[in-house]
Amino acid sequence: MQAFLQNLINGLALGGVYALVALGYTMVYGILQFINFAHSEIFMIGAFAGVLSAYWLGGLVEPGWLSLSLTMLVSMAACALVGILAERLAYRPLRSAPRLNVLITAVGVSLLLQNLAQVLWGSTPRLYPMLVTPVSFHPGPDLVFTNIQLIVIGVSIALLVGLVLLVHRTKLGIAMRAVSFDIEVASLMGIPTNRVIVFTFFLGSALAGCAATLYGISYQKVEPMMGVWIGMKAFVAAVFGGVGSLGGAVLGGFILGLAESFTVYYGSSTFRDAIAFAILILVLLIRPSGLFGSVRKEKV
Amino acid sequence: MGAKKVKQALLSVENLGVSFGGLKAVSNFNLSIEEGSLHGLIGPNGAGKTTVFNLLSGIYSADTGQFRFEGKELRGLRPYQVCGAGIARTFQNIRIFGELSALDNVQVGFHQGCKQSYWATLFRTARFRNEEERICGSAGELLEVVGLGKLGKVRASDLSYGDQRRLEIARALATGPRLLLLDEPAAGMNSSEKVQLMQLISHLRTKAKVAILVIEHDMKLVMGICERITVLDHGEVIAVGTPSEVQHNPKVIEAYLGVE
Amino acid sequence: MKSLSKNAFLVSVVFILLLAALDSLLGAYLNPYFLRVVVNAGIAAILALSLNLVSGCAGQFSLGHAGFMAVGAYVSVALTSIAFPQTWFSSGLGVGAACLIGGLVAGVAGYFVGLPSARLRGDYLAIVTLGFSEIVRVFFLNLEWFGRARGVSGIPKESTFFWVYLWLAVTFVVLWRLMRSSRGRAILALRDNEIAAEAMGVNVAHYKIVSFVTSSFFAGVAGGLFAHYQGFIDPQSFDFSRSVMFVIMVVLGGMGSLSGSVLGAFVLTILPESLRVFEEYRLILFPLILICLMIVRPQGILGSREIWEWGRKK
Repeated sequence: MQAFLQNLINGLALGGVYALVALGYTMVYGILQFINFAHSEIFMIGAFAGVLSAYWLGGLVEPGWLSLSLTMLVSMAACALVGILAERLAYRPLRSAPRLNVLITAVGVSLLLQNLAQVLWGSTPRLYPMLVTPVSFHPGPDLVFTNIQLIVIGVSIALLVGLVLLVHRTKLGIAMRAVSFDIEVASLMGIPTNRVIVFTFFLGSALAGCAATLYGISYQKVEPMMGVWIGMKAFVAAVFGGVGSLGGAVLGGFILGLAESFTVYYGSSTFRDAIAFAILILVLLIRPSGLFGSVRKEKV
Repeated sequence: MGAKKVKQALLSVENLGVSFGGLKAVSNFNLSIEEGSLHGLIGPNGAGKTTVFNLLSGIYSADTGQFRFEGKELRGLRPYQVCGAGIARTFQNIRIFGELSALDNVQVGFHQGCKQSYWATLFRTARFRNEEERICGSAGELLEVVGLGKLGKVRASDLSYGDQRRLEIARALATGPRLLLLDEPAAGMNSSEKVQLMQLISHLRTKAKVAILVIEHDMKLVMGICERITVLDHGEVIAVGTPSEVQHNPKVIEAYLGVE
Repeated sequence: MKSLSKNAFLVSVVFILLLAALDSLLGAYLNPYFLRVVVNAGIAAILALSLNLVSGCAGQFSLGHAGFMAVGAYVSVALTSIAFPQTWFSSGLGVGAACLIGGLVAGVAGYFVGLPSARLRGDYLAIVTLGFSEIVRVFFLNLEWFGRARGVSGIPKESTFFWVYLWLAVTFVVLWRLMRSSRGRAILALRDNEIAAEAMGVNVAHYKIVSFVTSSFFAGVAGGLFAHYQGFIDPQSFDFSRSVMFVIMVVLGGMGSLSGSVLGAFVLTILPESLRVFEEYRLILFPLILICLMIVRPQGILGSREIWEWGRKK
């Protein structure tokens, strides 16, 4: 029972990060029907933003809520900026091009960001600043969890709730949903589609920035290649939940986190990365639309 | 024994139906087409006509019913297998191979009947070269038949809309079908092009002995060339008969014009 | 080309003799540095060509090409350097056989990657192929037998200019003959309009798989040639950026143009060596080139034409 609870907490903490990144993938896919390959690198940029802001601020602010919030804001801003730039410079010119072209471009942006990070900051892993003093709780002899994990779970759930409210209760949210349904009709209805698209990138990237901060305080290691696997797994989570479905991405993220946690405990850690891939293959073979997604049928 | 052998219909469809997410797109669809005949499929927009074509060509898998072609059950087969059985089609929204030349488009139609093994392809045997010549020649002939003889080398997406439609017909014919499904072949054509199309269709029936099932909105064309017509509305057959029978059928009038 | 086919045997013999002569000449008179660049360009060309088959001709966008290269490299190295070192496998012929076997194993991997690909659309296929490539890399990264992160060194350097360019010629001829045939047209058709192709009798799933298998076979052979030219390999050589590198080569040359892939490979291998600005900022410039290409000239240099068709409107 203890082991189960332990894995549950570990899995949820991991899943929160996946869920936040998965949201970025699914939102962009819902609106533009393409996978923003560069999203994983935007996540990575957010992590480096945290490292750099700590470097610049020096020891100005002590660990605690203030430094965590500030760093998170900086990361969100950095990620949002990169996301918006990518959309404006690389993706918008290809709005009416064949889908394959945008995909290739996204791959190019992804590699560009990876290499830029490598050139600017080197490939040796950096240490993420200690924004929160870790405190462990031991409710049971074999059960331990940290305040960091609680923060991760709490913050990710709060953000998700906020996102749901935004999408379902505000005008902007309705506009987003309309554009994801049918972009042409939405623009005919008077919705400023470009602004909605920009906002979607802004939001998705900002969430990745939050995820990066949460990841940073949890695992401390930051390097240019960190986005590749996290991004792939978050994408699997989005596919599992159904691309285009926000709830699906969240659910997928948490389920993947739990699956990984339990696999590591009961199986072995070498299989940890493989589990995401296995889930992906299974989903694509059995139910490509995922849990809550709808397959857009090609009109014949 | 003395029992007269009943001539089997070329295509015999019984109770074909398919639903998408709970919505019945087509239900209880019946159809019978004789060899070499010309049959029309009409109905208001959204009636399910193209869905029927997609079912018959194997692109959609029917939920219910069956359809037999030359005695062989085709339900559940993949499109390339249906094509192999002898049914070919054109598409409502043109689906040509844009990057390929017009000639190449038609040559693709000849692929399934082609006898080039991988070995022959790699080692360029005599058999390979003969097949290539045969296919090239036959494709050229088909382009002539549909009136595109001089446009063989043109990139397909550079052709005019009307030419692309005719290219699709040539390509479908290349597969050697006994039944040809034409989905709105006259769409976007002017009256002289339509006359040419009607001539082409007649020519196909007599020379190529191909049965034709055509979806069309142009009533003059449909009533003019079809021997029998099936009328579809909301996914169901509401009338079957000769052009004049169908024209005077109150249910058909209601479907198109609404009730007074 | 037709007249060439008819005298295929004669042409092949002449070509082989020419290559052998060139090999000796270059070995004797060319600066070893330049020779290295030329050979690497040749290996890259085989990889670009094979990627073009599956991505440019069949339209199946693959981000996993480095993975097949890795399979071929590691399998061939397993034979020549790890399992049977200092045996027949270290001879020229042995290395050749090892590369061939590496290619065959890569081809089998291509089959298993191609199988789900039949059902996947562009975006998902890209992720699946990327996932495959990463899993291959991590697989070899974790195996002690293959040296983990250190990789394998001391590999017999038997790939010479002759063998690499001979394989390049073989690859080109095979792909050319495949694409200029009824089957090649079927492959192009499935790229242009999969639904229509299948309705016209093309067994789409079959050709997707054939494309993957053929492509990965040649990538595997190239991986073996690569390993036996460098003398060492490590998992880092086969990462995501390597796969993207091949994509850039294919896009630059023109997707669907075989000679274009060779051109793209040569340009992107030789240019960095000759222009200093390229060398230092290669990491940044190459993806930037890809992005600009896709926005400004997605058809690359040649589009779907071949070099000898330049100027002809297509």
